[in-house]
Amino acid sequence: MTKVTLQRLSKVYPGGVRAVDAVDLEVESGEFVVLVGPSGCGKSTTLRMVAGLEEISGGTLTIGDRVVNEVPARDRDIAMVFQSYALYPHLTVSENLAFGLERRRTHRSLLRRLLSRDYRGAAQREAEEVRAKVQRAAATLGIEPLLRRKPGALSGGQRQRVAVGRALVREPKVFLFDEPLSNLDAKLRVEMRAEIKELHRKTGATMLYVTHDQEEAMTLGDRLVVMRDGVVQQCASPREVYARPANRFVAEFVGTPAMNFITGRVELSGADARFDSPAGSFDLPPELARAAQASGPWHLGVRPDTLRVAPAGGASDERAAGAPGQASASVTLDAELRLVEDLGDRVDLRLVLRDGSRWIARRPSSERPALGAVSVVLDLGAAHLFKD
Amino acid sequence: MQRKAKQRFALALLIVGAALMLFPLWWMLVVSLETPARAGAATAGAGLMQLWPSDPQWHNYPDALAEVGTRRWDGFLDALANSIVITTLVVIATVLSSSLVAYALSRIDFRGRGVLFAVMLGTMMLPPQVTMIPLFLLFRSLGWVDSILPLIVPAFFGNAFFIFMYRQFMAQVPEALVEAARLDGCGHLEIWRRVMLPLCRPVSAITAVFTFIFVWNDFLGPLIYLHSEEKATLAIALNSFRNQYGGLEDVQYLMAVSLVTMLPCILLFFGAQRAFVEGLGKGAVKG
Amino acid sequence: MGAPVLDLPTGPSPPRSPAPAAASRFWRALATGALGLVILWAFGRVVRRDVFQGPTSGDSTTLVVMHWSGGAGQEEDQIVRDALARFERANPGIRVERINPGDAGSFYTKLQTMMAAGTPPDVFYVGDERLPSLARMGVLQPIDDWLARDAAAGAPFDTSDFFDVTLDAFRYDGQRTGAGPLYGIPKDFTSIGFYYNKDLFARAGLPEPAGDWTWDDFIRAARAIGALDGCTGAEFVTWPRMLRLYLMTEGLDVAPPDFTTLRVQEPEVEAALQRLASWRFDEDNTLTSGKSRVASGETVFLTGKVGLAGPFGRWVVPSYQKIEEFEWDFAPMPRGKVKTNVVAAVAWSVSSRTKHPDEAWRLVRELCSVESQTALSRLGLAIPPRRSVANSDAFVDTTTPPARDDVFLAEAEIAEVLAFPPSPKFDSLMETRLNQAVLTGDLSVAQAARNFADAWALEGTSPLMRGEFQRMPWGTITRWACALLAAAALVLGALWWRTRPGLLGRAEERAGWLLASPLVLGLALFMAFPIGLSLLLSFTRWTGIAGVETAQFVGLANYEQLLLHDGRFWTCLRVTAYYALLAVPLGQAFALGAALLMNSKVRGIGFFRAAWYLPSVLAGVGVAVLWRWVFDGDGGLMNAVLGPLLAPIGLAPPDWFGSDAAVFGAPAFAIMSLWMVGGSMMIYLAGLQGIPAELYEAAELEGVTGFERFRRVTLPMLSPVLIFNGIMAIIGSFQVFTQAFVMTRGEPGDLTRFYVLYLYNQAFDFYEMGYASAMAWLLLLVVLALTVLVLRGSRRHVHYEALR
Repeated sequence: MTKVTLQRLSKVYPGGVRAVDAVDLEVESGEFVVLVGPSGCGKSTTLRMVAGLEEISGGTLTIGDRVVNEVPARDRDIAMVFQSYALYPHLTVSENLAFGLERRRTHRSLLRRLLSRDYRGAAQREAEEVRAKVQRAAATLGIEPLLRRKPGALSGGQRQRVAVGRALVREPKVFLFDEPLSNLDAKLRVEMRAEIKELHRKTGATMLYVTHDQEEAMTLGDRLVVMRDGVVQQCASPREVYARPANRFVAEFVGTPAMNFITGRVELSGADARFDSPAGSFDLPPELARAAQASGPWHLGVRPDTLRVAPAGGASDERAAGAPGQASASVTLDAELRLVEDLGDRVDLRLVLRDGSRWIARRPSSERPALGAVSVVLDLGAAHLFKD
Repeated sequence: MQRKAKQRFALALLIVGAALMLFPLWWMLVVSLETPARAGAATAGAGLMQLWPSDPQWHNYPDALAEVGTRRWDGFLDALANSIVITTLVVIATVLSSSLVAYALSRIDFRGRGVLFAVMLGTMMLPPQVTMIPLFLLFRSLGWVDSILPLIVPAFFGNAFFIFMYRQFMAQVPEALVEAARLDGCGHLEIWRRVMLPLCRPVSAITAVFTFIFVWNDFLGPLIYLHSEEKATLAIALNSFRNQYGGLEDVQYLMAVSLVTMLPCILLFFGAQRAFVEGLGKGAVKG
Repeated sequence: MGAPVLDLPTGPSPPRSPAPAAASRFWRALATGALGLVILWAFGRVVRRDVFQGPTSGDSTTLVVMHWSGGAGQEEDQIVRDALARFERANPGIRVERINPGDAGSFYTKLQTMMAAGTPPDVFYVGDERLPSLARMGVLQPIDDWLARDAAAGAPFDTSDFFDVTLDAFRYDGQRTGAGPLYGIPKDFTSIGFYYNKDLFARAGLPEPAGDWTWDDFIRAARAIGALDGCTGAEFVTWPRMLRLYLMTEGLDVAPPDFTTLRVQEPEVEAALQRLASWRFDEDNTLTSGKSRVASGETVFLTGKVGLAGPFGRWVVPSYQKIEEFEWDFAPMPRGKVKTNVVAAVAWSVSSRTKHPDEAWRLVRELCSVESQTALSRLGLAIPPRRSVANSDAFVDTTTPPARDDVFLAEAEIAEVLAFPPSPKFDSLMETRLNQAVLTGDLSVAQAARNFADAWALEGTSPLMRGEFQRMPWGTITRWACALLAAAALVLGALWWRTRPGLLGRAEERAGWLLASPLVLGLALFMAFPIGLSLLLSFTRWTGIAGVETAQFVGLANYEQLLLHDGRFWTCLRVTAYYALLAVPLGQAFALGAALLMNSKVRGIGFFRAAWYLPSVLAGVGVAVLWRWVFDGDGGLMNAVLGPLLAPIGLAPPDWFGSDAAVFGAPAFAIMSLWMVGGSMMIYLAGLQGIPAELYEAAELEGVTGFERFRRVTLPMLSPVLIFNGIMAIIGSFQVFTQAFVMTRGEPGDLTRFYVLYLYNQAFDFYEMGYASAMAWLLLLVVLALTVLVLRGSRRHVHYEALR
């Protein structure tokens, strides 16, 4: 079991582009860490630096207790699953699986055969071992019937399994996944996701996983690393990232549908705080007031599933409750309901606020307000305040 | 209906074209089977054209082959063996060296790579006559004249055209495949041997066939470097034979020997035809 | 014409299914096995020969002998080998290696490379026409001292037995032939005359030519035979040697013996040439037309339809002896104002750089002994230079034709030495210029003579003739080159160090350079060094025969001569450009069309692809012979087809390599190149197959079909391939050599002399290696400029995204 440590790891390309900027990360032994972020955020580059496919421009990378900055990829004892699977098209599935093991067999060379008396026995034992390992990995992934086929004759899902199997069979210190599911269709993706999670549970191996799909990240990772422009935005458990996003970017990136925002000014007066925006003005509850350290422009964010929608004017009592001095858990804003998207068990209500912000509210499908003017009820207890 | 007519038209064109293309070969075959008088008439006689050997003289072939060189049969057999040895070695060396260099040029990032590649492409424009005499001086100073070394050794240093072809092909191999191999524990040499070479089989086939044909037919190189008669290649032997039988008398012998000399090229070509089309499709063009 | 072709049983049957059938696998295994066995056999044979019976090294002296085979091939080889065996028996401890590169052309190319490398053969053939240039370069050893020494030692080599003229042909005093030191012992020679068809003479009621017949007798006979049905009076070849002999019979020559000026514009000379031209062009069937390349020269006599053929030497006799259809014999050279003749001779010479001069001389004595000459004489293709052998029954043999062997000898007795200028360019200029008047009739005699005189005068005022040049300072150059290289290496190394990547990157870089090292080494050794050397050589005058240390530094004189003084250079450039202009677009259009055809889904398309590609695979002499025949002006296949087609519109098919060569010579080669477009076709085909089908479907949905679809979809998608093929074709078109070398040798005039062929002529026929290097460099620049131009011009029209 192996711990992977990234200390101020950076990648600067010859043109001066900083793809990865001083990333700090400790992947505990047996942990499943997901690097997530929009494309171009440096997550793949980070992974490739860990793999040794990309040279490290600054910082240190430690695998186990060895600094591997200068260790070539083939000596780092890591396995990687590629987005395109990268199966050797000229080899059968079983040859693909055995490829890495064969490379590591010691009793292969003819020279040794001439020198060593026990060569033949050792070589046979090793070959046997390789075969057994391939069998085991194939059994784990359920690809035994495919072993004699070539990758060209496999479906996408099968290839994906073989690619995972190729990593698995090597029993590496660390598994790396580079968007392994993005070439699959939606249904298969969900299936494979579960399998990978299961695999992690079974092997208990250290895994580092890159994806741009936050849902995949949330379901898979013990811990999430949200990146943007080469900088780590937040590094925490999925629950934490969802519940307490470190900044507006993380908040917006994590969760479907994305968090709704209004932008306004916070005026602090003593322990009280008031939020002013073209969409409406209201007092902030104490915990949010504490979060706003200073007066100035702030963004208020609410998750779609914490919103309630009432017919226009139908929530006037709550509006009254929002009167100055009586900070309450919820406020009501005027909005216009433009569209209702029926998802079966729930509906997404597309709203436009007075200041023009476009929001989505997620409600049970039993609720179906009429299109037109409505009131939106925010639960300020579940709201977030971000400086930028 | 119109499509069918079109197809028929295409087929007709193909047949006529194929006939035009193959006719000379057939003509050579016909002449090689003629009696001396009729063969002479076929080549000199104004417009006299035969489509069928009037009375096939099969013995022309053994007769002609025996007369190659100055020793009966041995001249031909020696020339044949020499040609095979030189061609085999050059083909193997060219495939290995060209693909190795192309691997470095397409898959390893090193400063100077672009310049190296550009310089290499530039040399493709060079008329071989420019380097002929200086090269001879070089090989002479190494003491390699009258050995097959000057004909073989340069092949171990790669051939610009084939390096170019391999490189274009290799550039299309997904990078992830190479990276997977690196993670699987391969060094560059192993990636080249275990991954690239198997994937480049079509290009290797083309390289092998082109090289074979070029070396097999090469005349100037062996002429300059090989002195002794028993070291002569088939092309050289054929040239001496031409001077002997290049007059219009005995032109049937000349055609017989020419055909025998061409035969390996023809066989090889038909054998490798599929790999050819495939390989050209994948590699050669994408400049 | 198509029928027999279709019977070719070689159609490929590539297995289309993923798992090849068992039968196919069996055949493949069989073929592989057979191939393996053949290769094994070849290696076995070569290894056994070269390793186990390698050269018996030791203390023995080794002499290297080089010769060529004339018309007699193996028999001449055998004679030389016998002589060498006799010599080795008589001189134990001396071993002789024999080299025979084949024909005379290959022989001289090889001789030159060996001499340039400083290892000439010790004893070798020299033709009399090459003697002045070789002697002037100092590569031949004068023989007189040995003759004197042997005479003093009481073992004289009896030169008095030799026909005087044959010895004189190998004397050269630095100015003119016929006097001065002797540079070789003739091994055989021939006098010149006409062969005549006895049957036709009888049919025309003519007497057989007398020993002192005149040109009037000659032309009367030719006219009489020309009047016979389907017959032509005479074949009269106009090779420089023969044309000069013709003039000599009128007491004239093309130049005074020092060759400083020309006499061709003198009225008498022009008149004599005009007479010859009139016989050929103003009369019907008196002389052969000079049009046909195949049915000309020695072979036309075999048809039995030509009364006289010549002026030829003895070399045609072995092939004429096989004639069974008619009787023939040999007539002396007709006389004009003067009765005269010349000889053509080949001698054994000794290299001036031989390490064993005495042994070499002993070998020459053996090679020119009575015994060797007797054997050679029995071949029939030459006259033995020893009178004793010539007058013996080894030569004079009345039982086989020609009956008048004595005529050869009588002519030899009166023959003069033909002086050759030391510049081998003279013959080439004379042939190309004068033949335009006397052979093809493109120009008037006066015009051709003026061209010849002008060209030769230009040659005389060449910057290369400007007097003495310094030796090339090789030592200084080497030192400077080393210093420059070291400096460049230092600068590069410093730059390298400053931008060096990290440790892993450096390891990667090391691997890259290591794997690319074959290319780097190859470029340095087999490209950079030779190119650099050839650039240096382009600033020198160097024969390519004497060692490279004899090269003279001439500055830019080679380039000056090329651009300002060499008319032939511009002719060749024009011919090449004309060819390129035709062959490149035509060839590419044809290849693209063929590829479109190949892309259609017809049964057996694999066979058709193979068939269309096959011609590009084939090369060699046989194919060249074929094409010479196809384009022959008289009765070639091309004209046999074109004639009936053009007749209704009142046109005659062109005389491709004859009188119409100015317009049709290069196009003939362009047509020939169409036959070889298989390579381009395959590349286009590959490009076509790379175009995604969706594009065509999209086009179809938009109603774009047929030609419009080709123009709007296919062409743009194919544009990178077009550029690639186009550039390759341009480069190729400027390097045309082999076809022209084998088929026309640049004739008539210089109308099919392609650039590289002229370069080859300069290097290996005129011994101007420096000049040839300059030409190679100019060619490089031209091709480079064209490539850049094409790339620049096409930038806007090429869709490289088509490659992704």
